[in-house]
Amino acid sequence: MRADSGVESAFPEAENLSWLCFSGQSPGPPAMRSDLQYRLCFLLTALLFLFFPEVSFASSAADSFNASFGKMLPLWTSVPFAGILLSIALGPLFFPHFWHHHFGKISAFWALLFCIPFLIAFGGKAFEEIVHILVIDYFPFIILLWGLFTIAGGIVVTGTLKGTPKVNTAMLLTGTVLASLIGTTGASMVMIRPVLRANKDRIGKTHIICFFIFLIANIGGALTPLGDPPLFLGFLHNVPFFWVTLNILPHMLVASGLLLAIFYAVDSFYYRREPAKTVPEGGERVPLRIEGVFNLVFLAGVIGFILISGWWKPGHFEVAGIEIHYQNLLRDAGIVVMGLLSLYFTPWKLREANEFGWAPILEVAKLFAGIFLTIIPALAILKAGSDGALSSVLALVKGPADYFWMSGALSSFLDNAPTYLSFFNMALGSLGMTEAMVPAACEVTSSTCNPLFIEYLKAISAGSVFMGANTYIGNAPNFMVKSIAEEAGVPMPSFLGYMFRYSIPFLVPIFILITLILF
Amino acid sequence: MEKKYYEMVLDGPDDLIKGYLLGFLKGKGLEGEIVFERELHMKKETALDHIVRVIYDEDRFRIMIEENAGRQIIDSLANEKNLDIRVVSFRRITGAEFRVEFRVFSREMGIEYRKIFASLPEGVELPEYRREEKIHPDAKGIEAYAPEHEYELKAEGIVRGRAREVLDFYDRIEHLPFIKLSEIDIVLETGNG
Repeated sequence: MRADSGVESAFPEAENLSWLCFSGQSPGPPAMRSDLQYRLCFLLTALLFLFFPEVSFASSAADSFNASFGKMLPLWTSVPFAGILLSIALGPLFFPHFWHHHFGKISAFWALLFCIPFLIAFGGKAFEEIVHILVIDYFPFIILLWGLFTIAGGIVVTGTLKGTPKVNTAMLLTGTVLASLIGTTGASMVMIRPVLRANKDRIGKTHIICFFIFLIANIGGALTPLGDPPLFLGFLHNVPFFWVTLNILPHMLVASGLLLAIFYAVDSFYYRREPAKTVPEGGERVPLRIEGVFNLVFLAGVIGFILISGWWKPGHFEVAGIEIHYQNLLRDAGIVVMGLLSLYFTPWKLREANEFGWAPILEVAKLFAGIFLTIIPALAILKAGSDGALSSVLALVKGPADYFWMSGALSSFLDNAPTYLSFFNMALGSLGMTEAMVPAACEVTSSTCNPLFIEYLKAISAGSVFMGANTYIGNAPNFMVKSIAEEAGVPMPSFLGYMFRYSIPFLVPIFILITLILF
Repeated sequence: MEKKYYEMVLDGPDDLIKGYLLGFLKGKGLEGEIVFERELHMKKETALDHIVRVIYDEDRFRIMIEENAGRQIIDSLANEKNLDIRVVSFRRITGAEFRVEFRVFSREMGIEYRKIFASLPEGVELPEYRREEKIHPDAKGIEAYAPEHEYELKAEGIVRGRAREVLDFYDRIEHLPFIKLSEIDIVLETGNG
């Protein structure tokens, strides 16, 4: 079995390897000819033909790898991507102990399941694609999350407030504002303990934590690329930094304003039913204090480096065909320096008060390595638009409301960062745009403005960020908040209980309202 | 001397029965000797029981009452010819039981819950009690995508014993977070009434 002539020129690595394996002869050293390795080679090549049938039989003129890549890929090359997202969604629910200990291996499994056949099939080009997504998306993404997490972990709110409806609403409002500055994970980490302390003696407090998840762990992060990982991915893919601030503000104000008002009403109802002894008097309280405030300087530094990377364009150099921009290197190095300064200057006892540790960042690093690698075929297919394997899905998503609900529905059950990226590429594909055209398309006052793209992008941004609150698995801080609350003695509803008692009755009507008035 | 409790089933309008019973006991100075059905957390009637009761136009009202007070009510009702209340049954309660289970995630709560179930009130026992304590040191601290509790105590069992004490214990623990309780199963003496 030999690849046809078209493949020989476009994918020589794949052709060589298929010949190598099926001939049963290896030009390599004797150690390479072991039975086990021969079998492994056979298996990988079988996978290669299973995954990329076009490599052997269909593709004839692949002059431009990137242009044709998404058009030729079958949909099931995205199975590892679906697999890793479903693993993240279902692992903590159904086999938490196993997942806790082996999530890194599971992520690696899905990544290798995609990468090995991909590398065999496309050789050097595949390697470039992998390095490209790691350099352009993965490393900056992890560096930003690390920086924000490190800086936020040094800010501690101490003291005991009285958990009245007014105080609780004020704390949720504070956290909501904070979320767009230090990220939803950081804001959740900083605010959850003060909220729990203030309501320690209250009996009915489950609703407080659920609204905390709605507002601080999700919707609050909608106003800057720092707020929620999907929006930072948008920034990495040329969406201007303040675009979300200006364009998602109405949606965010409607959602958070209504939720805070509803929360105040609900909390007042439960507060009135509390036995008098559970409401602590003023004498038991410790004055409120914020420690580690100097970390805000480092946070400002992070924002500054990100803004500089959006404005300053000093040029680039190339490594393995990938453009490395100087401003991005400066941004990432700057964020690392800000994080290190925060680590150096913040007394460790402040971090201990937040129960700060590296586990969340390690989790993100391991899982998103798998996500970013396995997302390659899905993004390519979506970029191919009507010429790709998802053309029928693209045809279904017609207007901003469709983008809002589709990206939101998927973000409810899968991680919202890859969901955002997928729909972002779907929007580009459906409008025949490239990423390079995004900044110009977002400029409302310019003739290059693309109003349809702007509407799509608003819908995708709001849908991905807001609807992460729909379930425990929609966004990483949701589970973190649930877990901390349970350890503090707050009985949290089950997965379905959260949906049916909280997110569906409170969030879905608000999202319907937003659709009616803003999309 | 240990008090004896009875299940009394009455037929008649709910409000009338409740008003009559409360008034009667207050007049006799026997308050606190009666537990109404809603406070009993008793097993609800089955759908079939409900259908039969509706067909025969019966309006059943159940209470748990101390023997002496119960007998006085029966005597009193026997003399009340104009009241639309009838005693359907009066059976001695020999005990009560319910299932309990809980799962907590902090050491402090674990200690508190273990203490509660280690020092049961007199007349109450906890057979078939299974308790499992798990500690995962590597799960300490905050986690996002792979959360696991560092400490977990879960237990389940059957609380069984004298009806009044079981009921009081139920009332004591039912509002604790993370506790799941079944309805109370009242055990009646057969051949009584």
